[in-house]
Amino acid sequence: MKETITLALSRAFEFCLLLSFSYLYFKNQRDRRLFFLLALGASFGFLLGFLLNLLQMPFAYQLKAWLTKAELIFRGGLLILVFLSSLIAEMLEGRERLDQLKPRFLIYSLLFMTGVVFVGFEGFDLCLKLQSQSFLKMTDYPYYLGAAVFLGFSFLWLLAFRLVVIYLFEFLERVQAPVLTFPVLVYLIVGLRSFFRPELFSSLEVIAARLLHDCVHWLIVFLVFPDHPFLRESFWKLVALAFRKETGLIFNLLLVLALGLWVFMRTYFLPYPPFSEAKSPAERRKFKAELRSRRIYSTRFIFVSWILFSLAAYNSYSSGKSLYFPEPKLLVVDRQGKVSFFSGELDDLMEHRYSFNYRDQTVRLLAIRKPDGKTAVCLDDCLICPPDGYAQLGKDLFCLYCGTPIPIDTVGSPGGCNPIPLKFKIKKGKIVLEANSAFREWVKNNR
Amino acid sequence: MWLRLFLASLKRQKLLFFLAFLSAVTGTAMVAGLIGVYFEASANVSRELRKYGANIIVQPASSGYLKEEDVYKIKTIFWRHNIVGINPYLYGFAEVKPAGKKVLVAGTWLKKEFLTPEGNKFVAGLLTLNRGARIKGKPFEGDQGELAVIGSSLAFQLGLKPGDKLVLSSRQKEIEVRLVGIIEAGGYEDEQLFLPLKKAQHLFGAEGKVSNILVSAVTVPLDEFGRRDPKTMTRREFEKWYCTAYPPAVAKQIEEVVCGSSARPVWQVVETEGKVLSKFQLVFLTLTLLSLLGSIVAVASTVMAGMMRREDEVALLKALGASKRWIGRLFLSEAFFLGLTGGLSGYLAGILLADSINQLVFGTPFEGKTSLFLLSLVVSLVVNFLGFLFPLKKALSFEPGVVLKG
Amino acid sequence: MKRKGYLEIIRLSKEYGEVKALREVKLTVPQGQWLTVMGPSGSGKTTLLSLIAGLIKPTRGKVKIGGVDIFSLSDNQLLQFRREKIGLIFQQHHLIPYLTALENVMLAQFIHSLPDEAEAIDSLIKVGLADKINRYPRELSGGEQQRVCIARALINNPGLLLADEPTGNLDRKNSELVLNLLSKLHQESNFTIVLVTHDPWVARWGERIVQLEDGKVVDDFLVQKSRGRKR
Ligand SMILES: Nc1ncnc2c1ncn2[C@@H]1O[C@H](COP(=O)(O)OP(=O)(O)OP(=O)(O)O)[C@@H](O)[C@H]1O
Ligand SMILES: [Mg+2]
Repeated sequence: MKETITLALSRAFEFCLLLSFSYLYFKNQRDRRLFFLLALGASFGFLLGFLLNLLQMPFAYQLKAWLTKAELIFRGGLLILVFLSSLIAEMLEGRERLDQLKPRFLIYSLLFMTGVVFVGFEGFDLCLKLQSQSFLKMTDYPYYLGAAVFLGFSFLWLLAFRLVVIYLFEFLERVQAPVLTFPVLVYLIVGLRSFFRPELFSSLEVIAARLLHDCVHWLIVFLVFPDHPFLRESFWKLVALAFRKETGLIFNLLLVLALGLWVFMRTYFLPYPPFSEAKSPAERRKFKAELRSRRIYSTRFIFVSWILFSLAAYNSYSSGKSLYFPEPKLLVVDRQGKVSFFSGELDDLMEHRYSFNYRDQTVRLLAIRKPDGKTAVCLDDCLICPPDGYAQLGKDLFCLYCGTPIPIDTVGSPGGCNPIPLKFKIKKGKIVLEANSAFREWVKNNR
Repeated sequence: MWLRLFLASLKRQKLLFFLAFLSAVTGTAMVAGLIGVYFEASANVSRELRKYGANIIVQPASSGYLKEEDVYKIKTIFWRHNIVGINPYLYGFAEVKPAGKKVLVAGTWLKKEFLTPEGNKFVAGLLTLNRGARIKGKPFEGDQGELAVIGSSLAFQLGLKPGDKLVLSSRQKEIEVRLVGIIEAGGYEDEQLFLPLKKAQHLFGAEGKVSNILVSAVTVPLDEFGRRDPKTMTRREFEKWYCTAYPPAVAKQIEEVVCGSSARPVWQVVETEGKVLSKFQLVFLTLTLLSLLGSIVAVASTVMAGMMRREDEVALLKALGASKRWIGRLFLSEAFFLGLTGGLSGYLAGILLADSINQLVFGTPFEGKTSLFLLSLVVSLVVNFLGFLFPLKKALSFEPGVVLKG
Repeated sequence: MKRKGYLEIIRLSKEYGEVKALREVKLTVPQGQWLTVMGPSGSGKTTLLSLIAGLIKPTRGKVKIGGVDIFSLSDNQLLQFRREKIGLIFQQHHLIPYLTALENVMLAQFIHSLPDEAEAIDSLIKVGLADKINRYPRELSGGEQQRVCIARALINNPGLLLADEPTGNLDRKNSELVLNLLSKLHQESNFTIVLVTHDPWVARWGERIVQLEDGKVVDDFLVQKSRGRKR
C-alpha cells in the first residue's frame, strides 16, 4: 500500500511538473492542451499493463516488461522534452517566442530525438532480450533495431493520440484552466498500481543522477585540484553528504525545489506590460497586482507538485521499515538451458526476485547476498506453503503466505520454512543456474 | 512590505513573541522528544524483551534430568532456522569454601559454538540468549575448564572479584575453580555462580545431564488463527497453520526431539511483548497529546493577550478595506515564522530530551532522524497555527466602526 | 429637476436599540462637491459617516455611491469597494504606531494592491512632509500626523473622501494648514468630500453645509464662494 502511494505521488509530481511547464511556456490554449495530453500519454503504457495484469494474461510478464520499458522511454522523453523546451524558451527570452516556433513540430522532432537517445539505454537491453528469445538472428545492430521498435511504438501511440485529440479537444475547449487540476487526481488514481518495483528514483533518474555525479567527479578530479591529498578527502566527504541516504533526500528535494523556484522567479519577475488603459497610479497598481496574483496562481502547480514529490520521496526513503517486495525481474533461458544475472545486482544486500519461463511454467527465484558476504539463490517458494513469495523486512524474510519470519542468515540452508536453495555457479561476474533443475524443483513443490 | 510589516510587529512585541516562541519550543520539544523516544523505544522494548528473552522453556516432563546430547537436536527441528538461542542449565547447590556459604551453582554455556548437522556454525549460550547481560572480566567459552563466572550481587555479598580462587564442594565432590568474570544481567542470574556445563556435571555427579533448556525462537505472534484447534481446520488451513512459526508449534517440535521433555512457551514473555508495547504506546500517545494541547493553549493565550492590544490596529486595517483573508495572512505569517523557528529549536531541544531519556532507560544514545526533524517542524507549525486560530477569530470579529469613535 | 448625484443617501435610518441615531436621512451629493456635515454632539454625524463608509449596517435605507448600492454588495465586495473608492480620515489620527509615515502610506497601497515606494514618497511630498517621511507617528506633531492621514486616504485615488472631525484635535494654525491642503488637493483631483465637524469655522472651507440635529437634516445650503475660500 505504501509503495502504491509512493508511486502515485511521484506520478502526480511528474504530471504537475509537466503541467506547470506547459502553462509557463505555451500561451496558446491549443498547444498547452496538446502538451497536456502528451503528458497524460506517459501513463499509457502502464495502463495497458495494468489491464493485462488484471486479466491475468499468460504473456503478461513478457508484455509488462516491454511496457515498462516503453513507458520509461516515454516518460523520460517527456521530461527531457520539458527541460529542453524550457531551455530554448529561456534562450529566446520569453515564452511568446516559443509559440511562434511551431511547437508541435518542435515537440514531435524532440520526441523523435529523445527516442533515439533513450534507445541507447533501453532499446539495447530490449533487443538483447529479443535476440536471446531466438526469434531474431544475432546481428550487430541491436541498437538500431531497438530504435526502430521504439519509433514504431511511438508512431502507433501518435496515431492513437491523434484520434483522441480530435475528440478530446472539442471537450477541452469548453473546460476552464483550473479544471485541469483534475488530471492530477486521475493520475493519483491511475497511479495505484502494484506490479512495478516501487522506486521513486527509477532507472531513468538513477542514470541521470549517476551521470551528473560522474561529470562533477570528473570535472573536479581532473580540473579543480589534481591530486590534492589533503583537501580531497574532506571535500569528498562533503560531496558524499549530498548523496547519502538521509541527507541526500533533503539535497534532492532542495534541488527540485530550486528548479521550481527558478521557474517561479522567472514568472514573478517577468516585466509588466504597459498599462495604457489605466489612468491613475492606483489603477496601474491594481492591474499589476491582478496580473501578479494571476501569475502566482499559475505557478501553483510547482508547489503542489513539490509537496507531492517531497511526500513521495519521503515515503519511498522511509519505507525501510515496510515490507520490501520487489517485482520479479524476467530472465531468459539461453540456448544452453541456463539462466543468468549479474551478481553485482545483489550488492545492495536486499532481496532480489527473478522469474523465467520454462516449459509453460513461470519459475520464480530469490537471490540475496547475506551480511556475511555469501550469496544465496533459492526458489521463491518453500516446501510447504503455496508459492506466494518472500518479502524482506529488516533482517528477516517473511513468507507472504504464512507470515513466518526467516532470519536472513539462514537463507540458503534447506529445510523448515526456508526457501528451497538451488545450486549455482559464478562465471564472469554472473550467477548462472540450470533452468531445468530449478524448474524440476519448482514443479515438484507445486503439483 | 510584508516583511516590513512583519518585522515592525515583531520588534514592537518582542516579549510576547518570545513567550509564544518559548511555549511553541517547549511543546515541540516535548512532542518531538516523546515521539522520538517512542519510535526508538518500540524497537528498543521489543529488543529488550527479546534480550531477556528465551521464549520457550524445555523441562523434564517428570522429575529428573534431560540429556545433554538432546540439546543439539533442537537445531534440527523443522523450525531450526528460527531458533536463535539455546542455553542448557544444570542447577545445584554447593558451598563456597573460603566464604563458607551455600550458593546456587548453574552449569551452563556462556558462549558455545557448535556445528549443526547441516554444517553451519551456531553460537549458543547465555550471552547470545540474554544480550543485556554484561560481563566484567572475561566469560568462559565452551563447556570445559576450571573457570567460573559469578553473578554481580552474589559477588558483592561474598566480596569476590575476578582472579580469586574458589573451592566449591557439593555432597559428591569438591573442586577448585578460578573466578574470571562478574556477570550482571539484571535478573536472577545475578545471584548465581556459573560454571562450564561439563564442570558442573562433574561437580554434581550428573554427567551428560541438564536440568532445563532455555530456547529463543523467532516466532509469529499468536493470533486468533494460531489459537485454533488444528483438528477443526481444512486442509489448506492446516497447511498454513503448520507452516506458521507460532510459539506452541515450535515448542511442540522441540518436545519431539528432546526426549522426556515438556516444552512450553514462556507466555509471560510472549504476551507481554505485545501488551507492554501497546500500553507503552498508549502512555506515550496521551503524553504527546497532552503536551501538544498544553502548548497550543499556551501559544493561544499569549497571542490572545497581544491581540487585545492590537484591536485598534485590526479595526484600522479593516476600515482601510483589508479583507479577512488579508488580515488572516498577516497573522498567520507570524504564526508561520514562529512555527518555523520554534520547530527548529524544538527539534534540537527534543533530541536532547530524547537522548537523555534513552540513555536513562535503555542506555543507548538516541539517533536524530530526518523524519523527526520534519515531524517537529510540522508539530511546531500546527501548534502555532492552532494557537493563532482562536485569537485570529477574535481579531476578525473586531468592528471597524470603532476607528471613527474618538 | 432632480440631479443625479455621486453620493445618494435614500431614507437612511440607524437605530441603536432604543436610540434613533439617524431618522430617514435623504441627501444627494454631486460629483466633486465638498459637503460639510454640521451638528451638535450626539446628532448622528459619525453614524452617518460610518454608514457611508460601509463600516456599519443601516437599520433601513440605502447608500448609493457612483450608482452602486453599497449594502447590497457582499462583504468582500464591500471591502473591495471601500479599498478602491473611499478614503477615510479620522479625528484620532489612527496611524499604526510602529510603522513610519512612509510605511503607513504604503500599507494603504498594499491593502489596495501593491506597495509602490516612489508613489508613496510623492504623496508625502505633496502634503509637505518631504523631510519627515521616515519618522514614526510619535515623532510627528498632530498636524503632521493628520497630513500623513490625508496622504494615506488619497493614495488610492478614491472618488469619495470621508473625514470625521479632521481638525478636532488641532489648534487653529494647524487646522488651517490641513484644511488648506485638503482644498488644494480637492481642486486638483476633484473628488467628493464629506467632512464632519461641529466647528462653523471649519465649515467655511466646504461648498455646501448640511445641518444635522437629532438624526434629521434640518438645514442644507450652499456656502458663498467669496466668503468661504479666503477666510
Ligand atoms: N455603538 C453605539 N451604540 C449605541 N448607541 C450609539 C452607538 N454609537 C452612537 N450611538 C448613539 O447614537 C447617537 C449619535 O451618535 P454619533 O456618534 O453619530 O454622534 P456625533 O454627532 O458624531 O457626536 P459627536 O459630535 O459628539 O461626535 C448618540 O446618541 C449616541 O449615543
Ligand atoms: Mg462624532
